[in-house]
Amino acid sequence: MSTATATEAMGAGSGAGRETVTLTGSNTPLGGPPARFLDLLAAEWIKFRSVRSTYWALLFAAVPSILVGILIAQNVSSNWANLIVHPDFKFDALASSFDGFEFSQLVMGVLGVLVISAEYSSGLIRSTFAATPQRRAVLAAKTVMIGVLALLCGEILSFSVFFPVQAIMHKVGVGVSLGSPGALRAVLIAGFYLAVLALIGLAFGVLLRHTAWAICAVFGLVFILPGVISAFPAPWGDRIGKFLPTDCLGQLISQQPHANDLSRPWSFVMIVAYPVVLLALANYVLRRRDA
Amino acid sequence: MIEIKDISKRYGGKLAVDGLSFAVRPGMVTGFLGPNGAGKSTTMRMILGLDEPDRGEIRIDGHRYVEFKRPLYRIGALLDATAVHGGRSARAHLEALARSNGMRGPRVDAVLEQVGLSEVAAKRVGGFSLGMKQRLGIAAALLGEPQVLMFDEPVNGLDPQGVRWVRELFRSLATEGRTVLVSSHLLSEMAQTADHLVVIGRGRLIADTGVEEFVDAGSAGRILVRTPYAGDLARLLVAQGARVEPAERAMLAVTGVTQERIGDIAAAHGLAIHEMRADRASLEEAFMELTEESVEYRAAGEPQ
Repeated sequence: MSTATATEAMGAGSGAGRETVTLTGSNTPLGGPPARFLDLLAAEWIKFRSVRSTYWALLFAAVPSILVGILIAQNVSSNWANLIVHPDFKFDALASSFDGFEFSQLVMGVLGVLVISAEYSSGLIRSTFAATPQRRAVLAAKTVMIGVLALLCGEILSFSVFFPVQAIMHKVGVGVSLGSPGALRAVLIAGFYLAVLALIGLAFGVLLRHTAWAICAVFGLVFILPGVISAFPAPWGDRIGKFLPTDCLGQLISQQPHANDLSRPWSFVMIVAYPVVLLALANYVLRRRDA
Repeated sequence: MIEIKDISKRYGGKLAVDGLSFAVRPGMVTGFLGPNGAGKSTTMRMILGLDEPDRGEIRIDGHRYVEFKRPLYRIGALLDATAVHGGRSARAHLEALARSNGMRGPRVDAVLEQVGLSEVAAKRVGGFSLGMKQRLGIAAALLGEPQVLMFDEPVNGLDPQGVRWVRELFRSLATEGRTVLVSSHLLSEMAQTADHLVVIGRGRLIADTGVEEFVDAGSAGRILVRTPYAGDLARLLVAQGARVEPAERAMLAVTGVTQERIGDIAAAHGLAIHEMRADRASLEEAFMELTEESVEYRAAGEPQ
């Protein structure tokens, strides 16, 4: 095309283009209403519910945990006569409800990671932050969205595993009811802990940005570290181990308090402190980093 | 209006943008041109407040980006069409963006319609071609009907109809008085789309000029002529003081006379001319020459 026809084409294009494009010159003033937090929350919810992996994750968080809990209870109750003859046999029927929860904990952690790492890996995070330059508000919306969702799912899961397991344990006379001392606390905490893990996952997702590394971090903190620390020479294993989220959880869902662990109130403080501190760190990093 | 004032940005030890200043004015399409690695995308990320310049400042309609509470109403941008979650539908992708800026109602469907993706709105983006993703990215930029629009390599992956559509879209956005910045590493693309050119290389400004001036300066009056009477015409033209060289496909490359003069001379001597045009290759050459110093990546054996 010659330079002359190039110029012509430009001129013609501007005329023809007007028919196909109908944009009006709306111009929202700068002082207009700021993006409300509820809008950000709604946006995060749209993103969360519009991918299939969400539903798979929730399914994987729920089904194995309930099945494993029931299977273990069946096993224990059918072998009960053999088990109780051992002199050092101890059984915490309350805590055993949640024996299958390790898997849900991991899945919830992964779900938390993905809320942000999927945006980093795809590059979508740039669209998100360009649309909302207030990055801390984005993180807050993600925190509330996944936190509330994981809490709801966690509690539903926790209650729906407690009743069948205890029904099975009742057959051998050791089942606890929701009214038994500490039972409601244990059930609520077991569900709450899943929200804690989702938020720890979210924080690691922000800090590490890569899905695989963030999942490793969650997995390491929740499943590997307890084993490593328990291998420390006494008394260091106990001294450090009692601060781990797993130990704090164990203290909060058991019938009898463990002597070596933190007190129950402090255990609760610890499991809340993990996501709070990690999210604070994530918040700090997010503000200063190029997207 | 985008005003960029003396910005610099260093990543690690590498200076990606080096004291860059220019303004993108409303009512026209501004082409943002430079070889790969010149700093175009970095500059665009800084305009959107995604990366913080080490030095200098950027204003959009007089404001810093972070001041915008609902930026989609002020500036729409397509940075990377592939930066979408493959598992999400086109509509959900746009709905989430729109909602984050408090936008409800028919805008999502309107922009889907406008870019021609209505029929696949419920399909997962992972199955989209690059061209469809470009359209989706353009839809996202149009959501808030902003006065300032910015597109990074929007033509990649589009089919010829798509390229034509996108050019017309940019033209009409500019005609409506909006500020339109479009990046490309191809001069030929920009020559057909832009009114104004900002050319950068190695993070520095090389040219900030109208397309016609750039083209005029670049082609340096080289005219290609195809005629069955090449020998006769060449002799006549040389006699008139023109310089004539053989060019590709048996054409004559003429400098030193205008197209009108060549036509008149040929007509006066009854010589048929089958084709005559300004030499675009020389335009690309001029662009290459201009940016050669600044080419970041070069294959082994490519001329230095």
